[in-house]
Amino acid sequence: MKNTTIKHCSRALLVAIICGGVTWVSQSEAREFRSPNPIFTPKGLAGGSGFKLDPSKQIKLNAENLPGIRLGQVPRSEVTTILKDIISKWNTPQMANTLANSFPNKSGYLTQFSANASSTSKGQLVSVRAIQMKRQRAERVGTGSRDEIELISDVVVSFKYRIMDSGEASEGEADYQLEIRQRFSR
Amino acid sequence: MSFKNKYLTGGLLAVMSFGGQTASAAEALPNNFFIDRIVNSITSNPVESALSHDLLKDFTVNYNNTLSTALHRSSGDHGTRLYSTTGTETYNDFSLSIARQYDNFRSMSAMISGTLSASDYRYDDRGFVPERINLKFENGAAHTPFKAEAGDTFADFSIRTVQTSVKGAQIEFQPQSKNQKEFSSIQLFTGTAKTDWSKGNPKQDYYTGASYLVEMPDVGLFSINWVNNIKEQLSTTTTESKTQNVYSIAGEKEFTIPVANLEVIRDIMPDQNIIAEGELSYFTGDHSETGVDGTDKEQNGKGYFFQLSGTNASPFSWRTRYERYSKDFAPAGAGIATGTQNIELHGAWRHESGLQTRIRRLLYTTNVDNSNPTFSKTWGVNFSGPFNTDYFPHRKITGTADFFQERSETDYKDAVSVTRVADINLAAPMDYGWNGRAGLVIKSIVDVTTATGSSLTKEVSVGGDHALTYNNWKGTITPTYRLTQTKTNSTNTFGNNPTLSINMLNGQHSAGMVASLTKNVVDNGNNYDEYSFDANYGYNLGAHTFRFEGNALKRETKSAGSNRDLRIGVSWNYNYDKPAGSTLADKGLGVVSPATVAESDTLDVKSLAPGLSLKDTLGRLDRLNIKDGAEQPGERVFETRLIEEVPTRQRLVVQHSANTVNKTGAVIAFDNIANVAGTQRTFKQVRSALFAKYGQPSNVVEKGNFSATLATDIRNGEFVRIYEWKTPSGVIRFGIPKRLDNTVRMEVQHARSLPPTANSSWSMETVR
Repeated sequence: MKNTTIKHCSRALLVAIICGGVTWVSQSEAREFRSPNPIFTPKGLAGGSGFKLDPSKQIKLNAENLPGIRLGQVPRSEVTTILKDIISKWNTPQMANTLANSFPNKSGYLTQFSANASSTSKGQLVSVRAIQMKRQRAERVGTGSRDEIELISDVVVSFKYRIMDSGEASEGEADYQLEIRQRFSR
Repeated sequence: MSFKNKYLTGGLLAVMSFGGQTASAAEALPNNFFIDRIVNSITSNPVESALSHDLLKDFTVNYNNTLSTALHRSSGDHGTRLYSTTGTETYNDFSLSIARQYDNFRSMSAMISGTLSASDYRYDDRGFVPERINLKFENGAAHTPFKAEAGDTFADFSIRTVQTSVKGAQIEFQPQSKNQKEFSSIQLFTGTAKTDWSKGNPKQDYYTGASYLVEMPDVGLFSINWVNNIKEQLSTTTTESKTQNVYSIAGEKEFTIPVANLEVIRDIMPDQNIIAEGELSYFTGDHSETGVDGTDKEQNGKGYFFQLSGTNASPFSWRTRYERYSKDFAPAGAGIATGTQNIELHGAWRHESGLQTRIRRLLYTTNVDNSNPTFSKTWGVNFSGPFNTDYFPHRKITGTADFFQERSETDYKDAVSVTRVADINLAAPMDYGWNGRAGLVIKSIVDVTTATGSSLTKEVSVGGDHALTYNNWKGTITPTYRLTQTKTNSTNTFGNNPTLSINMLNGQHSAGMVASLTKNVVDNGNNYDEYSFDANYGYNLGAHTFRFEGNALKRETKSAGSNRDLRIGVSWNYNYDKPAGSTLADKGLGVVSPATVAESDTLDVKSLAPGLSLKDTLGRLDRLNIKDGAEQPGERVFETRLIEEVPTRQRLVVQHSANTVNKTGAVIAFDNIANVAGTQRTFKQVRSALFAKYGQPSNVVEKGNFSATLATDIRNGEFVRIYEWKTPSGVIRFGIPKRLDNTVRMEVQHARSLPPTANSSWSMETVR
């Protein structure tokens, strides 16, 4: 088993944009009693997007358990492909499925499209400026003889985008925290 | 098509961003062999050798030491002398903190700070004094995750139960729920509020408390609290010991009212996102409100608080608040005023240009439950931000303009007064490189009952900042001129106050000075004049900083005598920082790793972190519609509010060099420091809002009490308030710093590091 090379199974790539509850998003402005200040727990590792990790299926991240997989990074080309896909969904109903449920004021964010953008405007990725790995973990998801591993990476990506509307273009910069789930099988 | 720029940046989506890198301090050091030799000889010291020992390899270590000595001279009339003790006063402050991260979930930290004092200004007693001791342990991998703390801790349940620093212990358990979105916490604390470790009876002011907090996605956030306080009296006094208990239940729930479904109003009002908050509290036991046992012992009091605040997709936001504390609701550690009732209504509109308009209606009652309560009713309107006018199309004018009228009257109508205030402060870039400032204050008090308390105050001020360069020195020169007239029933006083400030930097050298003259001409002949000169100079040699401070004051009065006061101080600060996993101290010369800071959908200095590029930071502000700050050399100042519920003038400051943000912060003014209770209330309001944002502070320094002599107490180091929170990018500090121009104001700062807490001169001097 040690020497088996794990192959990338590209069909199972799941992305969610997560936000809030992770680290430094500010809480209520004026609360006059104490605020929740969660202690970082192993359970919390699976937090963020609300996906659960089963501790019994968790795998230590090392070359022995995950031979052939480069740890500590998601290839830039893959992040770029994912981001292009997300931005192409901007101003479309599909965007709702891409935002994690924990995304702060998710519905408010989505409704601002219809309030601020015309139905013909479209988003484009101009360039990926920086990618930073926030954390990474892996768990065994296969059953029986089929051995599948899911590698879950939280990455922060800074990028430039362009909005096209009736021939006019405007550019801006933004950052996303993405939860990228890659599934590998032996 | 202005909406386009809001794409992906409505303040909600941008989650994490990278910071840039701060300019390496090494660049500022001259490549000078002689200097290098001095640095090497100073840094080979035994403290560093001990702290870089292998035993501390896995610990983050910070040691800070400041040796200060100052000469105080005072002559002239005793009553008005600034320094009660003259001669040379010396002390040595130190702080040592170590921290270790065992794994992702377990960590510990320990710190001790104190002084070796031979100075009456620093400490009452001579010798070694430990001032703050703190030990923390956190374990997130335990069956029930917990954090435990001992030593100096901050007890913070709610503003109506306890918000005070105690010496004792605190433990918090966070039982894990199957539903990951649920959160619960049990917090227990016990400790004494005495200020000294080495003296005083702990039971003279002893607290014990318990709090349960639960958050459920559909229900909201709730907390149940209990706090007990014992004030045991000394055997030498005849007053009996006092015991009190306060109980409270507090809650917060966020919900949306789908107003837009109602056809009639959907065009004018979008869906309302509402935060409802409240607390019901009950007090039983003894207090010290009247000083008479018959009315202080075994009393019961009630406290109520409700607040609704609304935000929505439009630029309009609003808040309404009700609170009432009966005359016997007097929790010892709370931050409220006993016997008061306050009703507040606030509405705010953020214009497309960035200007904010706020309207307030305040109905305050004091001495409630009393036969003759006092009612004060206020209407106020406030404008802050960029004032773009067609008259000056090429000038970016920013500022604040506040207008209010307050009618105050007792129930018997035996004290009735009307106060009207207009307070305008504007800033704009001018010709020839000047940034100009102008201010106007008109305050009228009409004493309707007796007319003896009536007065009219007018104040006009003009000033400006200009960049100043001399050889390799770069800085700012700021002349200001203030003219005041105060007319009462009996006297008419004219005041002239020219001031000149200069702040300069040259590599590792920094220098600043403020010269000020105040001439007051009173028509009854009781003229009084004040001349002051304050200067400082700092020299940084790697881990060592040498500082010189001089303060001179001459006061001449026609009726109360004259005096001269002089203080000359020098200090040597040594700082040692060692990251974990290294036995080498970080000299602060290396490249700083990029900050990873979430963008916030509200104004928050934590998300405006040091290390971010100036462009990113201004971009973040722009997305919050905070624009057109006044540009000064090395900094940008915005007229906006960090703490929305505090009505006094607030300015946001972004200090930068080489296109990288070094420090962000806010300057929050007091309304009128002569009003001791009001000053304390404003301070507690800001502090409470920061606790809500950042949680319990990691470091607290409190010395002295709010009093009528606050400005002098700060100047003499007898009043200190500092609260610090560690952030991934450095530290956030809130407090009231000492300033060269002796202005009393609150500041919030977020920087990679800040001067040691023993040095109370940490103000952003260039922001006036």
